[in-house]
Amino acid sequence: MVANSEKLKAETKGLSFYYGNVQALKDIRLPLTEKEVTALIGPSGCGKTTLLRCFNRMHDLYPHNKYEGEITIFPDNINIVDRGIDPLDIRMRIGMVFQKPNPFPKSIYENIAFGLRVRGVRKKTILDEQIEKSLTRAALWEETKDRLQESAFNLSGGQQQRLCIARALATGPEMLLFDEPTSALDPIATSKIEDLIVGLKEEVTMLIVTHNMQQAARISDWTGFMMLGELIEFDKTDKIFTNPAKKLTESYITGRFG
Amino acid sequence: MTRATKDKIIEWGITLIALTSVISFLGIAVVLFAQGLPAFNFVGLWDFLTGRGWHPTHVYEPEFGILPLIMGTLWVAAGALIITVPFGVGAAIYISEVARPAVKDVIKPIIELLNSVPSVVMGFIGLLILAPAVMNLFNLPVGLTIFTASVMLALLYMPYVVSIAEDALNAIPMSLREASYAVGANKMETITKVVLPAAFPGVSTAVILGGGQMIGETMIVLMVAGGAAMVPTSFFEPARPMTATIAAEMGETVVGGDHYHALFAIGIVLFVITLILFILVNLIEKKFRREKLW
Ligand SMILES: Nc1ncnc2c1ncn2[C@@H]1O[C@H](COP(=O)(O)OP(=O)(O)O)[C@@H](O)[C@H]1O
Ligand SMILES: [Mg+2]
Repeated sequence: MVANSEKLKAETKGLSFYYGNVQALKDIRLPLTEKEVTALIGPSGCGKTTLLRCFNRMHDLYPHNKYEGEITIFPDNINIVDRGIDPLDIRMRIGMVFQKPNPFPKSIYENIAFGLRVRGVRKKTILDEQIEKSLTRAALWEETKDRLQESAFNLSGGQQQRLCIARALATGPEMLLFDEPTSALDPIATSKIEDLIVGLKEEVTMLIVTHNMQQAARISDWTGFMMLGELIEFDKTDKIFTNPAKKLTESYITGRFG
Repeated sequence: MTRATKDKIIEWGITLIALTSVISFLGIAVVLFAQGLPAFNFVGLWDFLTGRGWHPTHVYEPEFGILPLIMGTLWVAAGALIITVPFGVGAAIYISEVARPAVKDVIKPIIELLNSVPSVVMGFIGLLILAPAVMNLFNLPVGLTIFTASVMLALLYMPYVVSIAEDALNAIPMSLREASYAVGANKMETITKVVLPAAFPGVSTAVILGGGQMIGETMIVLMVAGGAAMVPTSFFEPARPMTATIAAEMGETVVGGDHYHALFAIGIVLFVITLILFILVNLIEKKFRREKLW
């Protein structure tokens, strides 16, 4: 079921996660194929967000959270959730786009420059160049090139989310994490973002949580179905949506629950 | 009684309460101006504001220049702000962004406790402990100086500034901090480049409101500022702020006399300063809302 022929970018093994005493993830094994989109689906509260946020150690921001097991990132074989690994180093390599667009209360330009400045980029020419490049990749350049100094809050919700994608892209991540990136957007803005994600496959490995099964079917190569903190089934997206191996998966995708 | 009638009664009640505060405000303003404006029959507004001599009870040549009093107020408040801003805002940042919950649970009550110390007690501590220390430490003839008053004022209003600044920081949504961490920023960068700028309107409001309170404070400056009506040239000189002047002299004036009206005119000046600060706070808020920077 796991593609051996394709190169892996990361893989979780025996990954469990606890909010205090509450176990939210149980023994997850999930491979992420390089430069492809892996989608996580499942009913609300099944642990999709929790799993996604393990990849960039977001849980470290809050007390009493605990990881067990491994998330190995390739090619260097580092265990992301190892206590000895600095989460800052991980976040330098893995970007994230959140459920609700969360631009900084700064200009469009500064929103993207921020991540570069954090990495020590000071030269205006390099900043300008990178900002144009990432806005272009996020399909936002045409709409914003004449208003880079305006507040990011002047943008529409869909544009704000594309700005957040540009912000994540600007720092050249190896992997991008998306947590239901279109759940707050209208259908037109949603389809723009979906096109964008498909286009990004050329350069970056992506893991996307989605509540919307059609979305998973449209944009992902691999799909994992989760329930109650467990990864019930993982396979090629086509397989999951046409001929799932597990009864539970079938009931979920045919809309019998969730 | 129907629910609609109940609603109406509640609505009227609230309107009445709101009206009471508006009426009190107008009432205070009317009394202040009615008693203060007559001062300008015997001293011109410009001479009043810029005159350097305050000798209101001089038998032959009374002088009504309040520049020393205005400057006294400003020096004391400025000194207090210089102390309060870094410590108060720093403490708010520490409590809201850095401290572990257990530490927070210890620090917050202590700051609230400080808040419940009456200003007269602060003044007393300043008089008994700080003033002699200042005198010895800086080798001064007297310990009752602007510096002494500023330190005690800073202590008195520290909790106030800390708590509004902390509210401003807490109002910044967690999602903004997460956005910063997610692009690889560390805690310091997140605080200084994302959280603080986002909280700037709230924090500066806290500072301005704190400054307004300091300008209006009376008891401490009456007790430890030294009381000399001279335009100060350093923090280690005594001063006679406006509020202290009114409090010290009002009891000895003849109602309706020149001195009496002049003290009310000082009240008008304080009132106008407070009003300007209030408008400033609102302008800051408007500016940031309009530019949608928060
Ligand atoms: N901060 C938290 N503290 C405790 N429990 C949490 C926290 N966040 C999420 N959970 C719990 O963990 C489970 C998984 O949540 P989540 O990962 O958000 O699910 P999903 O994204 O699939 O809807 C849920 O039962 C949820 O209540
Ligand atoms: Mg979720």
